[in-house]
Amino acid sequence: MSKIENKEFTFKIYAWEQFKANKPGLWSFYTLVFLVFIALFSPFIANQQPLYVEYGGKSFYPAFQTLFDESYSDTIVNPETGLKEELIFTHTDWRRLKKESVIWTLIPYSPEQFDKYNTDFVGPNDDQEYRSHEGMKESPWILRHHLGTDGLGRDVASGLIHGTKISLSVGILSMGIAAILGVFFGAMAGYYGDTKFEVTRLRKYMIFIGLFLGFFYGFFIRSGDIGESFSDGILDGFLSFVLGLIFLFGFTFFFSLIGKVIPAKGFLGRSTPMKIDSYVSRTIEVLNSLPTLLLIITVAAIMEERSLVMLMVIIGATSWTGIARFTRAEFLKLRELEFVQAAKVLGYSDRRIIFKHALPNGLAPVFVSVAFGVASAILAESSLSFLGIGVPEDIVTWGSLLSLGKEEFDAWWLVIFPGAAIFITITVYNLIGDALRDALDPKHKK
Amino acid sequence: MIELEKIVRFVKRVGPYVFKRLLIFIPTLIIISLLSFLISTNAPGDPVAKIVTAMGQDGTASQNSDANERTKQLVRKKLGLDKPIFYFSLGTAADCDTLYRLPDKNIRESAEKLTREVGDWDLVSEFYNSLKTPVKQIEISFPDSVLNQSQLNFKSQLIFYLNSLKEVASVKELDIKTKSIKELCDSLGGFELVQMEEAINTLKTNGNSWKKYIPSLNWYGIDNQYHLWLLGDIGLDKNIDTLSVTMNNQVLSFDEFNFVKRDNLWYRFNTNPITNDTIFEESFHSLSQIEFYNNGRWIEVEGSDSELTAYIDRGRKGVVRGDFGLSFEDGMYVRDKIWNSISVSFWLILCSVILSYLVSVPVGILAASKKGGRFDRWSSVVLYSLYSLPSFFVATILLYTFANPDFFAWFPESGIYDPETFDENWSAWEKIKHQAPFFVLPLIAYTYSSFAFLSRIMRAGVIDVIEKDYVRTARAKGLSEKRVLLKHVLRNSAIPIITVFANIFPAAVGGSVILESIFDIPGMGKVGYEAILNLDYPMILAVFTISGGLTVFGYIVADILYAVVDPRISLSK
Repeated sequence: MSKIENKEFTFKIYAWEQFKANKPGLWSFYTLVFLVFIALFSPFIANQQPLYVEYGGKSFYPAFQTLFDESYSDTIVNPETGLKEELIFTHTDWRRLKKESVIWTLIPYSPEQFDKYNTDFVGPNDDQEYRSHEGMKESPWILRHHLGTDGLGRDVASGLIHGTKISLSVGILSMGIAAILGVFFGAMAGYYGDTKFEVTRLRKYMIFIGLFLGFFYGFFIRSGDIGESFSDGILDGFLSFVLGLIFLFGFTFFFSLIGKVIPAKGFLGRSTPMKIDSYVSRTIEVLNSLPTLLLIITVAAIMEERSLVMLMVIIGATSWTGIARFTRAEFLKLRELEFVQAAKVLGYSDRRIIFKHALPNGLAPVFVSVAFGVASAILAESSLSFLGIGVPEDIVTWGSLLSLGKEEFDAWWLVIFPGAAIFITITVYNLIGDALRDALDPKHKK
Repeated sequence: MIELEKIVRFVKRVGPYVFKRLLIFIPTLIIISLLSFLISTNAPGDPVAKIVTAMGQDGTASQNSDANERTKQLVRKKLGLDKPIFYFSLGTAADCDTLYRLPDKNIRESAEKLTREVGDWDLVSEFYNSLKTPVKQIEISFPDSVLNQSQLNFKSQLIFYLNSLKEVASVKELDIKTKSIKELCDSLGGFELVQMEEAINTLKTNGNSWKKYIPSLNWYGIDNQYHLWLLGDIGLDKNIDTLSVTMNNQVLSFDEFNFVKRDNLWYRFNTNPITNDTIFEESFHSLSQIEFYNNGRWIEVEGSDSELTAYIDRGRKGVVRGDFGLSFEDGMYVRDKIWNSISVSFWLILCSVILSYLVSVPVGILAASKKGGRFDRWSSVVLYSLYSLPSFFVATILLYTFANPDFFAWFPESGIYDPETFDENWSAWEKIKHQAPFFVLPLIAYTYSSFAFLSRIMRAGVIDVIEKDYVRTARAKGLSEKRVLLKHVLRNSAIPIITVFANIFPAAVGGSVILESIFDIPGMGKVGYEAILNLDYPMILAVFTISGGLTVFGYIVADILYAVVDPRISLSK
């Protein structure tokens, strides 16, 4: 009770208190923070480049030096032969050199690195060898593949660590896209409904013309350019796509403005409602009735270049409907509430009411469905990787590791560990979603 | 009488809403089919090229390119891909509106790009026309007999370059290619390709780049791929081909149909492509009686045994009349293929739904009746874990443990029957006995997550009801706890779980791609997935449209169920 008497007490503090009271949710939150930490520092946790090496009288920091410059190289004078040696870091097998001292990362392998001495599914408890400067040796603890290797000799533990980055970013970015789309369309549909957005016929037609021309100039005649810039690089493609969006919205607003400015009389001047709610609801219905995974597979098949970003966009673009539905329902309630009505009476613009007044109060269900959505996006990505679609072949993900395990029946470590990683991440997000729902909904107050 | 009144009231309550939903249902389906049409036709790769390659007639040498083109054109016609895609198309003023007639998808795409860049189809088409003669000119001016080895090399290179000019997609690429062609011409002995160079020059200088900024709408009429798919040949001329008939050794064949005369009877036969065995399908007293429907064509033969004409109706019935066309993959009816796979998926899903209800309802009630107790806590932990377990992970583990000769080889690894011992003529019971082991592992993988989901819903439903006043009253009356739960609580708490039933079905029909791939079950998901990989347009369309239709239908059923179990719900606002 004392907290409520406190003047500083806000809904945010209340929600955080409620969230903290939910033990599984709190633990999940800590686990998520831990996963994010792993994802952010994966190059320093699992890397074939050691953190520190002293070799030939010189000190190196290969894990840091190759971080931004993969072609980093240095020369030393070999103390035994007296010859000059060039070390191209990415090609150097540090294990083989006679080093004065070394600090390895926790897992001294990179996810894409082929360990040619431990190929063909070496298990965690099997004999593992490495080539030192004195020839083949039994691997010491630090150089062991603790979670085994796959058929090509890639370290599973390293794949898991670096896969964290991919899974988390797929989940967060695709849901970011879905949240933007879902909140925008849901807010529009909920706030304006089928009747509240009245315009003159002229302006209505102008908006349609603007949409058409925006699509034509933004995407239709630029479709080839957009495809080319995506093959140039992800950033180029993204910018090109955004330019298309700018065209689309620019034309729509411009023509809408023209329709507003031009005085229209008679038939064109009569005002009609824009059935925004119907348009959005029908779109959601159509998208929902298509089998999602098949849709993603089809769209992924259309993209000739496999890339992670495209996968995120596809998953985001197909999963915004849930968020839009929640936001719409929330806005249907909100628009009737006193504070929104008051804002209307005060003469605020619709944009201001939607974004400044209604949206902050309607975000709670969005948070909850984003948390659940991240779980299902991670599931979708790992399913696609499991099928071998979407993610480029050379990138190691949890799903692709698991699919390797399907091929080789003896390699249980290829199934258990990636499966556990996916399971833990999905559980964490689901539990956080649950805890958020309870914390943000006053009805569930504990 | 009371029953009838009840029904009338129910129809009045629910009817208008359902009617409205059904009205929206049709355009929704059409939009779904349109979307899938758009997606499948835009997929990279050309089904025609794929089929031609599979036929083994894809000539790689340039000399064969004419024959190759003809085969492609034939296949395109056979598949109905030689028609415009839709009633109209959006393009730019620079575009060519009859580009769809080009047989090769790569050439089509590069021609469109080049036209957009140049800005005038007339100039581009002039350029394509000028490409027809040079190869022949070179053959005439430099016959192989007068050339030495190095010149022969130059010549074949030159011809290769000239042929590749068809696939040029930009002016820049065109410049590079014409430059190397000029060099090759010089080394062959100063040969000039006047007409072609002129066309290229006008193309470069006279282009109108502004033309591509003007949108244009091309109208193609109803003779298009979508119309044929949806409505069949309604409104179109009946597409009847007259075929010449060849006869030798009493064997008659036209197109791909063969007939043979034996003992005064005509037999229609097919040859098994693998074993080369002859399979007789039907017999006729005389050829003029032959009338049959095969491979989507209606065949009629007229005339006497010596003088015959065969009419083959290549017309399509369209989806509205239940004809989903033919699969590109094997020429079988899409309808039959889909029907087979739907029935497999359907039985699997039905079993799994029944199973999960049988488990989850008692678990949900038990957990909720002693809320916060030990069973509740433990079951919710277990259920939560099950709910978050990815199904492909569980499926792989199941295969590892129970279909692995190293552990327990209790169940078969994949498929739905053993092709070596399975007999089509077995009785239903024998079939079930044979197939049951194949379905055990898939059923577990299908069931566990929906079971977890349903239990959670059931528990929430019971908790919601158990705190209501009427339950307290029932308890106060002195009813036993069992009676309270089963008689008073169960019915009302079942509302959410019943309505979920309608949603599980359609989601499962389209959404079980992964499980079906892992267990190699020929259901809807796997068939759809393979259709996408094989560019089998009619199959993709059918899978999307049917599962889309089922989903929308499921929503309507869910709404009706809502109204049935809860009389307070009024659907028509």
